[in-house]
Amino acid sequence: MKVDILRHIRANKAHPLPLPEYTAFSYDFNPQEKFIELMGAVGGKVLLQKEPLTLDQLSTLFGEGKSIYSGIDDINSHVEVSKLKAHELHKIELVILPAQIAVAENGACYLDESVLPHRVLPFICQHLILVIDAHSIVGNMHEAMEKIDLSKEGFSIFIAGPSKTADIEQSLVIGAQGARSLTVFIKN
Amino acid sequence: MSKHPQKAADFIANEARTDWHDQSLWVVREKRDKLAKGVAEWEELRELASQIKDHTLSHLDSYLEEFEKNALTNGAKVHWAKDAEAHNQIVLDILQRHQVRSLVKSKSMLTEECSLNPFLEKQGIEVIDTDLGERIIQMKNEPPSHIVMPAIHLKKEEIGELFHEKLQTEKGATDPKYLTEAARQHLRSHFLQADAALSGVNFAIAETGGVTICTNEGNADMGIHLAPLQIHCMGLEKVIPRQKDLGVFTRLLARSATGQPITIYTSHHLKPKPGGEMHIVIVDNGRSEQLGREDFRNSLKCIRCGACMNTCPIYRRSGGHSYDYTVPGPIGSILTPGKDLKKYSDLPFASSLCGSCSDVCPVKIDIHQQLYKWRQIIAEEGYLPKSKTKGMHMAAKILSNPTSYQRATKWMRRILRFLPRPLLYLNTNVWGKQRELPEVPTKTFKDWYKENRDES
Repeated sequence: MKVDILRHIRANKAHPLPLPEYTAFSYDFNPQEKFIELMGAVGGKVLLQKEPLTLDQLSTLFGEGKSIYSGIDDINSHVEVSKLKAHELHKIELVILPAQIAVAENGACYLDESVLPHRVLPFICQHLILVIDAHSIVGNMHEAMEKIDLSKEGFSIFIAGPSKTADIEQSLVIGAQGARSLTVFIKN
Repeated sequence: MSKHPQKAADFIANEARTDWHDQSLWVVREKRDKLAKGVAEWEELRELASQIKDHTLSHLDSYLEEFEKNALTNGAKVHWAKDAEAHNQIVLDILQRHQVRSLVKSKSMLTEECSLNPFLEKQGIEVIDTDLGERIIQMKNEPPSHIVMPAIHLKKEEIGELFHEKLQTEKGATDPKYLTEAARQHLRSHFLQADAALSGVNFAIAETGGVTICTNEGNADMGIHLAPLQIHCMGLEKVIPRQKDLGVFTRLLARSATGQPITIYTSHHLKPKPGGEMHIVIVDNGRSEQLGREDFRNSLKCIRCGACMNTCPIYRRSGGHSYDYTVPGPIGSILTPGKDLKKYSDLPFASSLCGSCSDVCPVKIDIHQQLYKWRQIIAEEGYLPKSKTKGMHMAAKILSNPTSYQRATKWMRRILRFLPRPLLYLNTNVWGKQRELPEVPTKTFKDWYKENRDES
């Protein structure tokens, strides 16, 4: 099957056309300001502070007594993901994960499997909190692609807001199948 | 009457609903404009994307081989399917080998194209579409009417009624928030039980051997990461050369599609999950043939954003179902004739050739020019309906000779003025069905010019 398909392609393809070379487009905005603006537009929340994130802060934001998985040092996990079966993970309400970079032009935060004890964590939780260093905010996707390596981990993802849909009469509803909210904590 | 005009006529019979449909899509088009204008280098990005795709298509065999080699190294299993039948059989074999009883799917126009769902259901496998729009139309037993917004043709009252029947929501409830929450609970129970997950592919990166999937709801990731078995089905034109190029396409895709800066989730699946299995099915199904049609090959550059549908005055006023194909609208109308010229001979005519589709296309496909070229082929092959050929022949006779043209305009001006309405708007006057003929001028341009010419 493969041989036939490839033979067919070889017989039918056009004369070789060049692959364009290009470098990252420049921009005239302040990445952090732009990122915060974009996050607001897509329904995400931004916390900008020098002090580390605290449990009290989380309680204020999400209510007391939530079960938490934390991938950052400042907050302790309530659950041991490795001891849960995949199908029990939906009981985790808050998931806190470090993001490697964030992209100002679209609010996307990038993370990979190295910070995920289970790949489904950022989706199955009710609320997702991503922690990003202020210095790791880049301007656009070109810069992002220069900084990351998609061949490194088995799974990687850009997350640019809470799960949403507009499939019913184009009405925007936050909280479709994935996390109901996204909070990005920028450490500066 | 051929199919598209008939189905479009049925659609516009309800004027209020037609206006509503038209308006819903125009709002999306406006959102796209706003976002596109926010990117200074938008036109350069389109040009880059177009060139990257042109290059890839002209080296498609080697990029597919590179992609396969890297995917295999990553631990994925790669399959090749020459047509829909082979694709469906490959998927079934994988599912049966794993004794899969329940499959969750995220949006894939390819599996719609291959009619995978009914095929699997016949074999006793439960298939649950998990994109909200797709789930709605699956419950309603309808095909999608748009490639990005599958249920754009339905009103919330209809969805409320459907959910009341299928998901036991309150009778009469139409609040999108309430209905979406009901779907969330319903779909979560399926995600947690599914034996396997199947997804489409937005971009397959040759350099990494991984597949990229873009969603807003998170449904693809919920399915793929929870089930032990994951299958990704891709048309062979989905491959792009490098990770770097994903930067260009992700800047264009969602802005063009829904007027968002990027989809909420852009996931890159490289290796199977620990203890899991990952399969990639590469499907031809007529694509390599389209590659050989010089005038039409660049239709394969399409990244399925749907912008051409949202902007198309015909699509907006005739609805996706009137095209009778998985991919409707302008792009569907240039993809289908290559699949079955006779069956889809009406679609290249479902256009005013205004060119708006080509203007918004993020990969610069010359859609309206291809529509025009398909028309020539359809006429040459003799697939034009008589209502078109008769008028064309008559027009050709009159217009090809100055004397006959002058004589015709002279007499027509006289006759048209006195011809009774019913005779003027006979059934054979297809053009006049929803349009008024322009008022007949008292003199021809030639006469006017003679009188007004400045002799000095």
